[in-house]
Amino acid sequence: MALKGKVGESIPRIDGLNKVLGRALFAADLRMEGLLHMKVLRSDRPHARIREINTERAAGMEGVVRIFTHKDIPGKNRIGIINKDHPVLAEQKVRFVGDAIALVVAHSEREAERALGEIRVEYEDLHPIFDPEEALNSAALIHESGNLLCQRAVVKGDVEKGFSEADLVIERTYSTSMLEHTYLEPDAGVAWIDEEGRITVCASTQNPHYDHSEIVTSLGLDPSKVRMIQATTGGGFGSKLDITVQCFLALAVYYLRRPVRLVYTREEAYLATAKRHPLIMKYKTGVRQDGRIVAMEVDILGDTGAYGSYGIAVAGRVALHATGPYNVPHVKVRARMAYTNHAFCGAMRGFGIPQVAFAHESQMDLLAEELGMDPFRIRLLNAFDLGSETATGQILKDSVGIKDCLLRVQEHSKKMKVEKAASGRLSGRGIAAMWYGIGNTGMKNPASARAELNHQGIFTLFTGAAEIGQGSDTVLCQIAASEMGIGLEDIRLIRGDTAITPDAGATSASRQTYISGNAVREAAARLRVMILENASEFLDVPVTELTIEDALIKSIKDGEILTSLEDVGARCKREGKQLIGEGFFDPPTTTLNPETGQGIPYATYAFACHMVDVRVDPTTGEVDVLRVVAAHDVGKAINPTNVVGQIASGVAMGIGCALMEEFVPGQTRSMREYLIPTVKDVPVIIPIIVESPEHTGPFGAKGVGEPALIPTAPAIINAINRALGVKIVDLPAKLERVMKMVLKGSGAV
Amino acid sequence: MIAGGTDLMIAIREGELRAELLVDISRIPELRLIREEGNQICIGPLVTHGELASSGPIKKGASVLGRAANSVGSPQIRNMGTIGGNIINASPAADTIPALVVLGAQLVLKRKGGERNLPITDFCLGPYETVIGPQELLTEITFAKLDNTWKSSFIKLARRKALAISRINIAVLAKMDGMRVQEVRVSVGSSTPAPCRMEKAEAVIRGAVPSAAVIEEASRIVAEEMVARSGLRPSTEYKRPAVQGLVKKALQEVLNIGS
Repeated sequence: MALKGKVGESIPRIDGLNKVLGRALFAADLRMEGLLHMKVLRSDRPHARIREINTERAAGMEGVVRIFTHKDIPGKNRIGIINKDHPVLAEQKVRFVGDAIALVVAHSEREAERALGEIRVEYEDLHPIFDPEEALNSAALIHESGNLLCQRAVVKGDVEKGFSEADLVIERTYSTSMLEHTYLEPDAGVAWIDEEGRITVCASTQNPHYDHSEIVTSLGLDPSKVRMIQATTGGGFGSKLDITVQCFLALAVYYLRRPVRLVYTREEAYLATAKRHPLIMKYKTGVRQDGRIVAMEVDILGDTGAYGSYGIAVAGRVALHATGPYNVPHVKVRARMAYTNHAFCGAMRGFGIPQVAFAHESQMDLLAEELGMDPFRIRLLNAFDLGSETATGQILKDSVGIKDCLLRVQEHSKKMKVEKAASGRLSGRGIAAMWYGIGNTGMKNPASARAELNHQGIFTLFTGAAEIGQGSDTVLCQIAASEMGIGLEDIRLIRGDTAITPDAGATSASRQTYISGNAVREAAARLRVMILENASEFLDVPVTELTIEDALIKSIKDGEILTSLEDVGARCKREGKQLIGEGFFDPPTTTLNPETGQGIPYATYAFACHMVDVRVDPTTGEVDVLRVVAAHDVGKAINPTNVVGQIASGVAMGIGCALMEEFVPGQTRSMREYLIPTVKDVPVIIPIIVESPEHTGPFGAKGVGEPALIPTAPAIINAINRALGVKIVDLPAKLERVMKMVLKGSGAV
Repeated sequence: MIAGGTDLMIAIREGELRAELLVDISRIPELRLIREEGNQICIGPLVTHGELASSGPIKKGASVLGRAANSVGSPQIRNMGTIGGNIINASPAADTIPALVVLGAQLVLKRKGGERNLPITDFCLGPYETVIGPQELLTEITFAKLDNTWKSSFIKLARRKALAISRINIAVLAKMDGMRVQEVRVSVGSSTPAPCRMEKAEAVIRGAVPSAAVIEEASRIVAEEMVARSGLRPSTEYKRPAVQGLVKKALQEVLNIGS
């Protein structure tokens, strides 16, 4: 009997059925006896000093239990994943429309909402800054530390020398819009005092162990007094890496000792949570006549909004990925992030790489066109190989699947003709490639995991890795099942509870399959050895002759069933032994030189290439995406169906980035103004899984979550450019923008 | 007064509208009928967009309206939203209104002790503004059936392919008399403050032998009329050529002239 769920099998998601049937309980579904409700008062000023917060009248309103302001925070009123610049509740100042000022807890949501309107905040308006360039030159400070959040650089070779060797140099400036993640489930949580007296918060999140640390800091408590549980989470795309409801709820429970619930409306999720960084990217690329890139100079300025969030990480990543997956001997990159009084920008699927990929892939197409080269050829000519040296001096030693991706897509390109457009419309085909470093940048970012076999022979896997809809629960169980020699149905999974699960770090940076996958694999491997050693003892068979297969202990020699896991469990019970395996993995990286970025930022990289066919209506600027071919080097597909799911979702999101998504602060309130693609906007997707094994990965796996999105938008833009004979340099290519390019092309403007 | 609530509930939730009480009229079956009376089609205001889109009489006698209704929002919205609501809400982007304009729809407004009849173009005054009184209820929408000598076109342009508010929507009807255009009606939604026919352009086509040049000229005039009515706006730069292009497409379709 072959048990289901081994690595490489396309089994259904283990969380799928409950979600489809509506049985999964999300934070907003949780109900408790005596549950109180919270609402948040938010700033309606972009930049203002707070003179006074008067809660007296509101506190006396019907149903109101208590109102909290910054004065009630017993610990440190500063949070933030990287730089701690974000007050839980505003103190002297508000820095964007949406900054949290006060919390109302009442017996019902309605009463809490009513009381919000009765809180009087006296402001003194300050000069607001909405432009990152202005922020850097302004005397008005958004934060006392200055308006420059950070600067990151990558320097390799001598860029001036490089350009002097170039036969062709192309310079362009690209810009992208602020985007909103628009995860299905608006942020939500419930908090209470658990049976051990801990302040317990159960919320929608991508990083429960980080949340725990921020709650501890803001309340000034011992870590053991706080417990964070990840609720079933309906998508995050990076936004749920920031603290949203967690500290608010914990603060209320700290004082009230009663269960409290906070559920954001869609509008609140739009107003108050992180956005994608809009970037201005100046690119200068030099090539030789033969198409080889010799030099690249890039200057990137991002608007990080009111708070740092993941801004520093995005700056680092965009600087390091600016070249694209290409050999460039002379590189000079500067990436800066400026504070403004916009909503704060943070992590969003791809950490800035969807933006830079738009720029470097537009450059590649421009160069190809000028040189009269095929777009595949110029990319293949410059793409990384085994042994290539990146701009940070890292030698790529393993799993460099970019050429495979390009070649596999090229095969399709040869087979499929560009459809001839119907009357009046124009067709075009575009390609784009990308690379993406798996895990955090040039720093420790470990994950731990634990595997146990209890005395009844039941296997339990403990992980802190947040499942947010991407499929990590299933993938980690498949890794454990393969390593242990058991079936998926034999696994009990305990996930995302800081009281019992080991820290796995954030579900971000496409890192959980690679990093937690390794930790889980090691935990399972250690447990397996322990089980076999115990079995060996009581069976009196050398451990080298034993194996676990189909959840049974068998002889390696003839496959004879010698005993069961249950027996081993029972035996260990009698002897008072515990069977626990622990696993740990931290990807081998180095810290980077702060001036030159030199070092090993990531242990491994994912690669991809997308090809898109579009049809453009030059009378209206409408773009139909007809087909997307998407090749991804994932190292090893632990669950191919899940990889395809990630690719499809990335493509859908990429269509949004390319054609319609644009968050305009102060104007975009909800999904009425902010359009994401519907099923009708998403065409046939042809996924191609490329497996160039990564030997430091679990079973050779890397990651695909963010890479799936990155090449789609640049490929769409390249396709539109080819269809119209124009060069779009700003995203999104909405109706008006495409039309403008059409008119410009025809000489009408 | 609430019927489908697809506009009203949003306005209330966003605090744009306050209502102490709402009278739910959604379960009055008499107001949810599509009737044929001689050469007239009479539609109850509670008929949903979904019902309009799948109605036999509409497909046969007013396909332009069926297509317009089918372009509204999503299946969920089409199953809740009503034609009456679409008219009363009077959004400039309402999809059924340009279709009703070219059909020459008359509205019946009833109040206690009286009723009045008026064409839809007199009913809508401007964006979200109509002549309906506080005591009045829209009880019927009527227009003459089109026989199969009429050709029609409805084009909706939006930022995505479904569940989107129209950026531009166009309804065109035309009828030939031998080689010449006997009658033509053009209405462009989301582009003028109040719904209207593009009469100057219609005059160019009426009586003419259809040709690429006539269509080109008429489309240009429509775009001009639009600008004349709504003034120069930031969106004009886009809308002028886009309206021209779409009207051209619609006219090519109804006049059977290839591009």
